[in-house]
Amino acid sequence: MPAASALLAFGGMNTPPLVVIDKVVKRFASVEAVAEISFSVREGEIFALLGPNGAGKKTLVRMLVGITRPDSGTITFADSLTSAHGPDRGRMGYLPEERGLYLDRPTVQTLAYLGALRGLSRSRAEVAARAWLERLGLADRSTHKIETLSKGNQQRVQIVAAILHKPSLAILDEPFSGLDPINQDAVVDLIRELRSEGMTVLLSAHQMDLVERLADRVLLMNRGKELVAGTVPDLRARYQSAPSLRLDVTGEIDLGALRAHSAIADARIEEDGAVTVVPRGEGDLSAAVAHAASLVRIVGIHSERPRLHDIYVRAVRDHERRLETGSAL
Amino acid sequence: MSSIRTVMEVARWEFLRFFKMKEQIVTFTLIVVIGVAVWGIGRMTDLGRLKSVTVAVVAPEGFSVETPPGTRIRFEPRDSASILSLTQEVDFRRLDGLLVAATSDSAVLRVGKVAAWQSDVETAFRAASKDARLRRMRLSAEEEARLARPAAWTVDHGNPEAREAWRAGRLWSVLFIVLTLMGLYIGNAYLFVAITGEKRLHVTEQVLSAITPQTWIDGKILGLSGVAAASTAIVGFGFFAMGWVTALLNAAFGAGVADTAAGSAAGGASPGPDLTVLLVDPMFLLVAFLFAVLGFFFWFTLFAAVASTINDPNTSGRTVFLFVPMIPASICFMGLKDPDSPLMRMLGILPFSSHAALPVRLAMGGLAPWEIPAALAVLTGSIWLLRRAAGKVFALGMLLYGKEPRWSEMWRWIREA
Repeated sequence: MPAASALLAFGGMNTPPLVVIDKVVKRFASVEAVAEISFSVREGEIFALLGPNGAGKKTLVRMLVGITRPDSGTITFADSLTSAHGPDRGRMGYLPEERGLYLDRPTVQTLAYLGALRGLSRSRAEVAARAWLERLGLADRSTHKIETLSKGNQQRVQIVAAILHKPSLAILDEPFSGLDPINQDAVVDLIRELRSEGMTVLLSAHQMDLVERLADRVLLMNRGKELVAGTVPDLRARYQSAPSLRLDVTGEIDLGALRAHSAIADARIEEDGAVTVVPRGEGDLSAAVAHAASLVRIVGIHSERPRLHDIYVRAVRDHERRLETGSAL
Repeated sequence: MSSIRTVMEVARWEFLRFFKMKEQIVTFTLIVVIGVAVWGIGRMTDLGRLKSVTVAVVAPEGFSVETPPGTRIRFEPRDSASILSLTQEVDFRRLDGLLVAATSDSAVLRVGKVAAWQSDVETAFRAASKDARLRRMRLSAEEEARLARPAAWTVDHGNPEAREAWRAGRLWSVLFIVLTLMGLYIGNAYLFVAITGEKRLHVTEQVLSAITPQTWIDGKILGLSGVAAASTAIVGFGFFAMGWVTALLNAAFGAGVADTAAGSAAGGASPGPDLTVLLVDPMFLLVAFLFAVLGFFFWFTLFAAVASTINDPNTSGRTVFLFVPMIPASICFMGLKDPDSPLMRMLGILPFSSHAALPVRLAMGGLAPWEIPAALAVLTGSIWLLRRAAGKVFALGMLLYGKEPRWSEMWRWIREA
């Protein structure tokens, strides 16, 4: 399991760490929600926490923002994020997974209040809130109650509430959930803008394609444990060196027989009837195609780079399999 | 941002969230309108009372019943032979009553329905009966006059204003308890709405990632104490305005038979205690205000902690806590009879009741000089301890969804804090 110091070697970014999480453990009754997790988040990067439901991401995030405390291990913030009394909450922003705003209050007042709680003066918070609403195209709704906004706009207002005060570190828990593709793209652009302005972003999300487009580094968790961490190319190199093959076929194929070949790591039938074959390595491409051709008539072949989604699924499945056999314990 | 500034920011937010000036104006106006309506109903009742009442009287020769002063009862002497027909007239409501006096010492009043004037008839008969007995004793005019003269009776308070001050103190005490209780209910209701609403709206994590639970609960209590104080003050002013308006109406149209408490409270045209005695007493105002606000802090701190553990206010049994402040207030009401009793002395010191009992004792009783600082110290100390415990319960309660924590669990949180 890589320690925080080892993680710093990933990715080639030379910025100093903003947060270092070292062997953090959190238990709830008999469940170990977070089990000796270690990683660091560097200044100016977008760091993504990935994992299935129950992986421990939320528990980890809640410890990072100070809502709960680790049972053991340490979370160390850089000097720029600390004050004399500990972590400086005014330098951090947080978008919780469970969204919530004061629906019965005007939008601009709610944003200004949340900004003021993060340390802005009331007047500066209101100026910042109005500027953000202008940027989101909601200036004319600034005095309207939040409950009158569409769900998508409420979500965007919620994100603004997390970053209104220009924090050094923004922790965004599932920032894309509940958004349509257009609004998801808008949030991707927003997060990129924040990074370009010098903000460090730690996000947890399920939308792998969006994370792949955004994240400088990712940490994959399952059942409270770290599975793998690094840049997306690093993960590709570690988990799947060969691109996957998409085969257009005529007729039905026996997936069991296809997966049984030693050159094939995984195979599945897509919704449109195409077959995706994942070879074990680059040297296995020909053997994989030949084996597939022996089972079904191939009318087209497309090569695809492995997606983060595939790496995620494979890593989690591998981990589950090892847990079942006891080798991961 | 300093903690105090953040507390004030939260307090301001909570105050503005719940204090709606429009609603307050409506409340104020409603109180005055209700006062005028009650005055009007009172006047109508008075007019009903002033309607003349006819009572036929069948009595032995030489015995007569006189109309009592201030009433519109008209006694009509009738012959004993007409008793049957008169009874039928009463039964058919053509006659208000029939008084049959077999002797000067015994009479029966026949009526068709129960009415307030019947006690006046009884009084008139008893007076006539007494006169008849005196006449049978054949007393001299001087002896009769001596018997009729009431004994002289005076209570010397030393200070001629003391009696009025005591009556005013009693009235003020009642008003104070009622208004404080009202403030507690208003604040508690808002606390329940605010806290359970924030849990329902899932704003908890957002806020708790920015400020500490203690800062949050402190700000909430401060802000909602402000709402409670302002709302109570407006209701109080509403009652005074109602009093002044009814007093003006009395002045314009004449006071009715029934005097209204509101008119008395305002020191209007109708007789009553002069409340200016206490209005200008800065000590009473200062102590009453101080203890009311501290009482709000005490109860709101307790309620904030309880509210944070409630998952659904519609189904939770803990909403019954809203009625707990009724207990000390009720005891204080009972204590008004004797504000210097050992019970009231104790309630004046205990933190859950001193906010009501101590100002009452100040207004009506013989408060020892040491009692105010002692009660103040006990109350502020209790608030401080309660605040720490409530902060811990609040911190954990606000993040709990689903099952409500048991009392034993909450007690464990406090001990661990």
